[in-house]
Amino acid sequence: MITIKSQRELRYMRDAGRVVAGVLGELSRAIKPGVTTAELDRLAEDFILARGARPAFKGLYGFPASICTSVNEQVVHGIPGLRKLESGDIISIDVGAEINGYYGDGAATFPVGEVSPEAKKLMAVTEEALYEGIRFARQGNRLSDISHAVQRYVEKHGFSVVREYVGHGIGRSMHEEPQVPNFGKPGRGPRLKAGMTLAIEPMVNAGTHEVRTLGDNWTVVTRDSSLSAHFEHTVAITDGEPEILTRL
Amino acid sequence: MRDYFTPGRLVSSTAGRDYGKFYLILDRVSETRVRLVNGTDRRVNGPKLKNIKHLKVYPLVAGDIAHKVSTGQRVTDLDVRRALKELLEAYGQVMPAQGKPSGDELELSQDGSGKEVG
Repeated sequence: MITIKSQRELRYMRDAGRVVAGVLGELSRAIKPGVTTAELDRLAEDFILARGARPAFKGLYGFPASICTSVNEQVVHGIPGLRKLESGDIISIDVGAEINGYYGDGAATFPVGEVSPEAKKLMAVTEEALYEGIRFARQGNRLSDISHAVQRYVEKHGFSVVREYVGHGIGRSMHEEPQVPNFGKPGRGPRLKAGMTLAIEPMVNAGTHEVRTLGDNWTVVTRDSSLSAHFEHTVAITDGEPEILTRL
Repeated sequence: MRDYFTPGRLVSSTAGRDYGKFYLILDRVSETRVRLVNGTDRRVNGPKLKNIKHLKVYPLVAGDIAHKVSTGQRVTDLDVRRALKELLEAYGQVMPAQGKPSGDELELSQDGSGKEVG
């Protein structure tokens, strides 16, 4: 069942979204060569707790950290650790926060030092694809209109979208119905209504769209080791323009 | 160990003449003490200092207040009253009287304990 959020619920989700956006802002300033992903995790966790929120990823399905840090060919669900970032890396940070029982989820990919033109383009296209998808998150549209918009934008620029992992509804739990794929034909799936809240998250690979999971059972990497980027916002459908909740 | 005594957190007094009264945490001043506000008789300019030992914490946080305090923005009494009202409604508590207490009943419900106000 897809839940419709009341105004009060949306206020709580805005609070959660603001914490998520704050974490991404904070980390964007902390990411530089020589920093370990565990340090970023610690920073994010302190930031979230200081705002009375709870890191939503910690313990979710057994995930051991507060954020996912996925470097270069890692697509999503990278576990923070002792890996030191190097100039030229790109790192995707995925954060979730819960406040008063409501969740916010957001992600962004950041460059470390100076990165290749290809990496820059990949990040730009992924972010633009996210906004392209959000443009279709309007009352009356169908769910897969979002999916189609993302896929079309990404493939037009010569990249590929990951199929195995998808966006999701969000609200009283991190993952609610419906699933929000980043690919597919338009005009399918449930009709969007004001009050639905979706986490839209394109994961875009420079090479093949195929992925595999590493031995830690978490980290997802591209099958051909090509670079991958990931941007995500929690979005509320309204009777007008979609509202991005994970923005400062 | 997770620290629950962060700005914006809903708490109530468990000891002292304000027993049962609801507040939001404005900030923490030391290891053991926090400053509390409710926007009416405990304002941002004159918060109540209280030992965390004498507080009950609730699983609700005023995100707005937490955000403002952590980014150094000014919190107003209106912000506090609004946030407290909303959290108490969410928690299913009787609404505290707003502004000047007008009648005995309202005053008692603000006290929260149902005891006479001293």
